[in-house]
Amino acid sequence: MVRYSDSCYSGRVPPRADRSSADPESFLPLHRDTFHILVSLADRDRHGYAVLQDVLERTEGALRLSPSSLYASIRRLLEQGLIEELDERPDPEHDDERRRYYRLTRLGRAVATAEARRLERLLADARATGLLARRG
Amino acid sequence: MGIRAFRALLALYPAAFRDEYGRELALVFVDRYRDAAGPWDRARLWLEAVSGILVEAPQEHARMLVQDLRYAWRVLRQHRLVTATIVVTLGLGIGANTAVFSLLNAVVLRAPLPVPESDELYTVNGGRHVASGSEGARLSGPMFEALRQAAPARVGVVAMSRAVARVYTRTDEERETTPASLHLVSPSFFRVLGVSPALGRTLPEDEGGAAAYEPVAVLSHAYWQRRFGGSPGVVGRRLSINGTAFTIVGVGPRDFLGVWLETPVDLWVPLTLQPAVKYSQSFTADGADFRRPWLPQAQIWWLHVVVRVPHEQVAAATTAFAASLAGSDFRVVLAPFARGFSQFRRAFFAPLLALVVMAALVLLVACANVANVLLARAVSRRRELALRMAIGAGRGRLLHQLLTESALLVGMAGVAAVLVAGWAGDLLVRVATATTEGPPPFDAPIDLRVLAFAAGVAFVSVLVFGVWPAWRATRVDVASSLQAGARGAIGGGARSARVLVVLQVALSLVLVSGTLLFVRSFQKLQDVDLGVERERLLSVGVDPRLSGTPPQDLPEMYRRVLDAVAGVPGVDSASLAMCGLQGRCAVEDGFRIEGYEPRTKEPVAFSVNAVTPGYFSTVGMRLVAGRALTEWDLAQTTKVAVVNQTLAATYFGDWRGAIGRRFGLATPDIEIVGIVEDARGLGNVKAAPLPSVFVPLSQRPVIPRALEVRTSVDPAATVASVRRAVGAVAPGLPIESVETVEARIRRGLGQERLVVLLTSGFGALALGLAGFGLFGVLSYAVARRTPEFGLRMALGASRSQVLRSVVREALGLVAGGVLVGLPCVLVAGTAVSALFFGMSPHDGGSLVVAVFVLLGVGAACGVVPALRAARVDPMVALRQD
Repeated sequence: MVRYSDSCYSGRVPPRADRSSADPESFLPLHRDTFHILVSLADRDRHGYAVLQDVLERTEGALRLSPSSLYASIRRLLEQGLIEELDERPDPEHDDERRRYYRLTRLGRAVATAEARRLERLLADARATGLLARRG
Repeated sequence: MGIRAFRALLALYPAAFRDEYGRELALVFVDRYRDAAGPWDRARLWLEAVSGILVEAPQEHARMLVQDLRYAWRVLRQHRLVTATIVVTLGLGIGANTAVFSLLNAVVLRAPLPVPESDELYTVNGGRHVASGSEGARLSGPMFEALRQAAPARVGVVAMSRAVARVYTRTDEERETTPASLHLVSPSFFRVLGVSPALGRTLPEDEGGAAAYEPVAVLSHAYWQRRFGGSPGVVGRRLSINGTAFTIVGVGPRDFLGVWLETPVDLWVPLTLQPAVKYSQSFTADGADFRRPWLPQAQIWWLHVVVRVPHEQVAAATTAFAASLAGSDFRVVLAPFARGFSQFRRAFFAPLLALVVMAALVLLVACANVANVLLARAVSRRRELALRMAIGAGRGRLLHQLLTESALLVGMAGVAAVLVAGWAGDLLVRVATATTEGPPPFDAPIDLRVLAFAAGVAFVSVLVFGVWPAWRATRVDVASSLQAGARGAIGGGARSARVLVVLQVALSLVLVSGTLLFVRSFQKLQDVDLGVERERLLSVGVDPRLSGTPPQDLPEMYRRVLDAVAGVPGVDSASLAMCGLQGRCAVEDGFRIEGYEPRTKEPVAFSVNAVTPGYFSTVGMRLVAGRALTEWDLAQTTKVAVVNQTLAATYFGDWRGAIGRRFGLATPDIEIVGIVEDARGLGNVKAAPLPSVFVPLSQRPVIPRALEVRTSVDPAATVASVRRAVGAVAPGLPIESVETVEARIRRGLGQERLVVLLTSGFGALALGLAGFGLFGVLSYAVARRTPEFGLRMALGASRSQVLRSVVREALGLVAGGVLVGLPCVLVAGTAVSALFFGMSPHDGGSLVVAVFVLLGVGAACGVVPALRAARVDPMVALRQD
């Protein structure tokens, strides 16, 4: 029998089982947009527009994701098993029931953390060489 | 307003993506639009949205395509056997069509000559000196001159020798001569055709002046590359052609190989140099003196004339030309010449057309087979599709995937077809032209339009039989389809499969019986009584004119050569003849026969050969009356001739009465002393024998061009010693060709061999495909009816009864196909009857054999499923339900 699980369009696709045991390092380095989306989902579950606004605020308007690139990224992240779609609503007060909410998976969190560490090490290297001022 | 426009933009996404995320995208857009501060911000939002979609949507499409292809590849790999069957079947079907049509294209529909405005070119045709069905009339030099004088302004007239001659060339540095092909042309040839030299200049146009007789030559581009390595210093060099020194003045353009399709030209020299290159081929003559230059003689017709006429002047030019030849019994017809000359085109048109039709039938059988396989699979795939719909795939998505699968299948088949066509195309040209070594005279590049067309037909059949049933199946209720399982959903599939098998059998019957007819016709051709004893006979082409021997010493040289060859161990006898078994003798017209009054305008034309004594016994022609030619028939004795039975029967009623009668050209001065059985020309054994005359070489001082050698051993083994013997007594005598008569006959049957090779291939292919289809249908039917067989056996039916019922079903399908196919065979046979030799197109024997072959295949393909049915365990089968 043929497996169909690779098709993310065939309904709400759960993350692939084989990906949950994947090595987070294998996803690095992350694309800028991807990293920002993962970061914005790190503290709470959000819907698409909330992600967009969060990224905009945190980057002080420097990164304006367009809806189309946002959802292309979301589709990819779902496929890779880094995020998942929620069935229950996380925030009953502000809930808009028309919207879909997303959450980091265990793997997604591990990947985002690994990327943050990578950037941290890079930063440390930049300081060590005097490129950046050492933290006081 | 804004949201509607945005929704419209979303249409650029693949439907599946749109279904999944479209609403979300729109919501986000609306939110941002609402939050936007002022028109400037809104404009920026729009710009972002539009550019984002324009970038992302194509990427989504590409991603989906890749995903579909990957999925399709996995499905195809999983059904490896089905996939391989379809790819091979369609590959062969499409490839065969492409190869055959490409050959037809190269030979018959070939692109016009590579000259500007080739549709303005015509060849002068019509009148009584037209060789049967030839492209251009035979004209004499004075007739060409008259046409040239009569040509209206802007009309160009060109003459050329009818044949492209084989000549021997040598540069100053070389000691040995090498053969080349030479075409004699009038100096205006290049200008009128519009061909400019790649190097140097073309032939000088100097009417009647001294320059017109200068021995100059233009090389073809290919010959320049081959012989002189493309050296730019070739212009001005000397080249000896058949013993006369010529100066090379130029090189033709790269793509121009002359005006004959199957004979690329190496050298062009002026017509005036006919005596210098000792050209003496393909002419009709009446009282001409062959030793004088031919061009000024009105009694020797040896030229083709090609004219360039602007479209609006065709009628005027025809009238002017006709007026210039008034009184010469010549009716001028301008025949289109855009594609040049070709004997090949005429000979191959009908067979190739028949082959194209057969190839198309094979493709049909192949498509029917593919349809069968796909139909069977569509039934078994219903579960899979139902399952996919159950987990949320849309029907559109499934259709998309099915289409991708089909396209991938046909694409793979297309690749296989290109491989088949590339390999087969080269083989076909070689077989058709009897090329055994070196490049064939022309190539047949794969015709992409045909490939695309054949692949299109295949794709449609895949769509109709693979996608449509599967797609229809998705409409059924998912749950019931899942429950029914593989066995439940049969419905119309089985019926269509049966119809397809009947169709396949019918088409196969046409192809198989056609193949048998072609094969038997070919056998008859090979075994036809030639009127000569073909075994142990060697035919050697010589050219005494190039030997450097003075004409008066030639008879002495002939005697030396004959004695030397007859003395070679393994040689029984040898004779010389004006024209050999290898070629055809010239047909001379205008004979008068004592006591025979021809009807008005009735041509009295005989094929004339001049031979040495012993010719008939050497080649094995049987004398049926009178005597053969002897040593005592000399120049000064009574002129005598031996004629063939056809001549004797045609002009003297009872052929025995011909002995002692007289005939001749001007006066009837030649006495018939013997009659021989008819012999056929080796180059075309299909043609009926012509009225033929054999005269003693001693009484007709022409140049013998053939040495026939009868051996007592394998003739091929004597070739080297015969060459040595000739070289020893006549060192300067060039041997143009040595070939056993058997080999010559084989070479002459190139067209028939091509047809037989292809039809056999097609027949076998069709038979195999039909058998495969039958096997599939029966296997499927047996699997479906397992419970039924079980029940029958539980109720007391024996295994042999079950076995018989399945085989009976197989034979029933074949019988149905035969009934449908029979009328087609009769119609098709009539259409191609001209291609058969000595066979009725409705040959009963072939048809019966074909029917039995098909029944045999049917029974064989039924046996395996039948055995499976007979092995059914009643208990197991009944429990299955």
